[in-house]
Amino acid sequence: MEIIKTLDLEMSFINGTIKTDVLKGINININKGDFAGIVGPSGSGKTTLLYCLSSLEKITSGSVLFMGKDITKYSSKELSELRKHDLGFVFQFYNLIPNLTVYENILLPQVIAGEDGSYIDEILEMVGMKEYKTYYPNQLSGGMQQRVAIARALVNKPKIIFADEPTGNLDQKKGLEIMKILKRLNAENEITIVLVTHNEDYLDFCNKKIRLVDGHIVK
Amino acid sequence: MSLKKFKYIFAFRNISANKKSSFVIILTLSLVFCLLILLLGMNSTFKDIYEIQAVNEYEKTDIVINYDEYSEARLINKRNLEEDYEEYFDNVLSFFNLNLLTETDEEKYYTTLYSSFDYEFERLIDEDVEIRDNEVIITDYFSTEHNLEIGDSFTFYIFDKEFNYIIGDIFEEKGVFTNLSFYAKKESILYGLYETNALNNFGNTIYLDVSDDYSISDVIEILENDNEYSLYHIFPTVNWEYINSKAVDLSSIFLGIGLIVLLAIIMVLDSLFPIVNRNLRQNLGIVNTLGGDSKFIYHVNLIQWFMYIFISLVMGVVLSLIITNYGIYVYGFSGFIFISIIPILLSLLIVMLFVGLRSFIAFRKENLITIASQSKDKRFNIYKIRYPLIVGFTLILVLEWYFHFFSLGLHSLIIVICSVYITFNLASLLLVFLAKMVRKTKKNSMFKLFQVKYLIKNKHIHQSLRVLLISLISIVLIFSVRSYLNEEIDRFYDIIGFDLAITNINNYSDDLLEDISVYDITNSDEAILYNNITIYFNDEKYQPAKFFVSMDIDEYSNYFNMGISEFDDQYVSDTVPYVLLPKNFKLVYDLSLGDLVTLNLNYLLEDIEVVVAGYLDTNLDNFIYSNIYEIDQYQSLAKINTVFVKTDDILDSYNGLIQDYSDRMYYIINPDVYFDEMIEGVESVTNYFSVFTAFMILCFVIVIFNNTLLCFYDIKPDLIKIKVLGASKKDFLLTLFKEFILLIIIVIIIGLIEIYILSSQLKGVVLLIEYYKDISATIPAIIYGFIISGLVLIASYLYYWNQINKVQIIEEIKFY
Repeated sequence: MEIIKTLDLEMSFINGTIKTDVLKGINININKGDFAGIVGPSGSGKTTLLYCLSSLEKITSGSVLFMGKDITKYSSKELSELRKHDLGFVFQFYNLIPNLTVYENILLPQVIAGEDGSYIDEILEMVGMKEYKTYYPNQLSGGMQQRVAIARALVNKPKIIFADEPTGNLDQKKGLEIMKILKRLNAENEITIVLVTHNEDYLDFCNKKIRLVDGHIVK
Repeated sequence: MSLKKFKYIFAFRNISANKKSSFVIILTLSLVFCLLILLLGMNSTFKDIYEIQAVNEYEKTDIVINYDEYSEARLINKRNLEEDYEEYFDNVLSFFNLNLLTETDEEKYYTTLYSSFDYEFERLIDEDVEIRDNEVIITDYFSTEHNLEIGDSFTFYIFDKEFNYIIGDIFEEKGVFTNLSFYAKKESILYGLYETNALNNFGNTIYLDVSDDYSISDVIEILENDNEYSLYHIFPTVNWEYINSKAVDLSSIFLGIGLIVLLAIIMVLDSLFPIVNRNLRQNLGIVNTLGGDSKFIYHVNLIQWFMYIFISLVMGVVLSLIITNYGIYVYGFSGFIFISIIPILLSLLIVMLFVGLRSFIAFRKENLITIASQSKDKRFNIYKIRYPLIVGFTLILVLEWYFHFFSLGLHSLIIVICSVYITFNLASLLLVFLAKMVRKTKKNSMFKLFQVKYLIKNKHIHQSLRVLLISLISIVLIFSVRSYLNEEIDRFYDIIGFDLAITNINNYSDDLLEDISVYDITNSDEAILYNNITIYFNDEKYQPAKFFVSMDIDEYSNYFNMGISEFDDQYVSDTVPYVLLPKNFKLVYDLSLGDLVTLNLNYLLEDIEVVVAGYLDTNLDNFIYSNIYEIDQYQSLAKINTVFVKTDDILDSYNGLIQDYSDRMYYIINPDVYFDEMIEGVESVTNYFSVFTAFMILCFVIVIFNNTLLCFYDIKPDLIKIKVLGASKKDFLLTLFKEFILLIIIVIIIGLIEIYILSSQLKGVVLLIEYYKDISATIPAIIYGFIISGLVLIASYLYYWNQINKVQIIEEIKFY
């Protein structure tokens, strides 16, 4: 079952009078339960593609279908609802809120979605961070912060998680730990994962590989 | 957990997690509240002071009945009041009070006698009295001033009678019993004068304590309608008209600089937003990514502000209570004054409105950025020059400057607002220009490669530059107002041209001028002098004035050193008197020659319509001239009561005159002594203003410091990178020194331009609050302003440098 699909997706940035075409005619299908890896050299458009797939960036032309519906036509309110319930995000720099504790950072999406937060302990257990729930982000190592970010992405039980270089800021050992967590979530909870990485080794975790060069899919 | 509760926790965490920033914000906001409360509450503070002074002076007394030298009436019978109006009064105290000549140790001077039955004096000042018939009680001030002690002999003169008494007791100054006052038993005084005890119920001043069942104003109206009392002066002890007028008069001078201070406060408030909103973009990005509404962070931000505001408001109120009460202590008033609720609410409203509006604008701006950018953009805020606005403001300024579309007050306000906007932007343009010049130099340096870009583009440095400028301008203006207050005393004395004045003359005849010529007098002229009169411009606008003089216009300039401008003799007539008013009245009350105004000279000469025929060349509100003494209609009531005197030997003439004319109850005024009391009032205000000045300057010192720190926080990540690359303490010191020099050059150039513009327009702006004082920036004030601002900037840059040196690289480069 297709969870996300693009049709002739194009994306350009205009800076002053200079137009830069970042994505050129992208057509991809990602099915439910896939672990899709997007790789490519720097500046190839990997992160932009992830942002377009996840509705964080508005595309220039084409369509992005989520569960068969064109989300490029969605209003900002509909997009918020989509992100609230169906999408999860993990970023390279974790993007945790520094002034909130681990627990509160994970509680935040629950509160936004109108949930009670009863699922948080279970999630923290899952990512091995239960005993750190009263800590602030700056009291944690990079790997720990990324686990918290994953927990936050999971807490609303999304259908798909978009991970933008989640190991990019971590050493090899911790990076591998994060990849294993993502793989386990994919395998055990059937959560679709879309991963952007520059580390070709991590493609071994993926069942679908998308290689971008200069805004085109080459493989 | 509910969304609402989470928002409060989030806001609280933002405050508690950034303790240093929160401290800076709360401190600055508290100062902002305190300044606003002090400014807006100035009027009510002065009203409170005067009300409490009046209440303290008269204790439980509500109404005073007396007469003066203009009235035909003399002694008042207390028994009639007690019998006819029994239900209205709890107490009726009958006093025989006089200003008279006293002699101790062969020294003669004027004093005030209070005489009544002992129980009446006890009630008036709430003290026990125990003296013999030939004894007096003097004030402790009196005792100190003339080195008198209990048992000393004490001589005073009433009419042509000499009274030889002994000092029986010394009381602390209290209520009306202050300065050079003494008390003696009425029965012995009246017996000494008239050799009868039949007059014991009579007095020339009656103090009335009104029963709680009746209102004071109603009772005054009833008494005024009673023929028996129609010739007396009946007035409430707490005179609200007088209190209001005096409070407005005093607070106006503070409000004059209020506009600039308010502008400074707004800029200071604005400077807090970058601190509070430091993580705003990122938080917004995260919440949007999680599917949250932007309003979520907006609400958190507002709650955070409200928490800051609530804490700061409490601190601001406490601080303003301390400043006000310390100020009034320095002013010379003993008592505690609470801040009225209205200035507090107004201050809260101003801050809330600004914060609400500013937050809304910030959010709208952030919402235009894509979610992806919000999550990852960590660059500093870029400064953008708004050329269309600069052009627009310049156009308005030029048009208004040349064509004067609006009244003087509005004209000045428009010039001030436009010039502030333009010059502040000029400062930024100059900074960009100078920085670019540095960039063109051949020699590479850390300053050229790194700091110059920051100076050109970083919004905070431009904001900091503006705060520095507005602080400098405010400090200069505050000092200027202070020196203006000091100089007003000199201006007052400069105008007084007579050496002595004989007043209280109730039976004037032309012979007097010839009689007094034996006392080395070179020049003397008859006049009518009324103190504390009121001019009504219409039903709502009125103005009190200290000296109303009516005399031969050709002689007026011999005794008052000021010229007459715009005099038009077409308004001189035999039936309608004319007035010459201080020239500032023309601007404040929008007067034209030929306008009719109404004078209340005293309680017998009310509602006299006069025509404005010209102006006196002074901005002091105290002097009014009229030719009323020449108008037949008023000659029976407005009688000659004063002779102004010029002499070669003031002391000799004074001693001679008081020796020979005091028995007629004439009062000889030596202006240097007589006006001291009035000058004391101005000095008290200047002292109060000094406290206010010191506090305001402290506020701006803290603000300048805060802003420099804010720039440091903003640039810290980049500074750390440079430190990692090996920049030494000396390198940073040199870089900061160059930045400091650039800022100081700009502040000197732009500051002087703006001070010059404000200096010329400030008096016009003050007209908007119906007040006119020719306040302009003085050279010492400008020097003080630059010294203070410069020193604070040096201190804050040294602190900045110290902070750079203390940065722990490992801690700071951690990224979360």
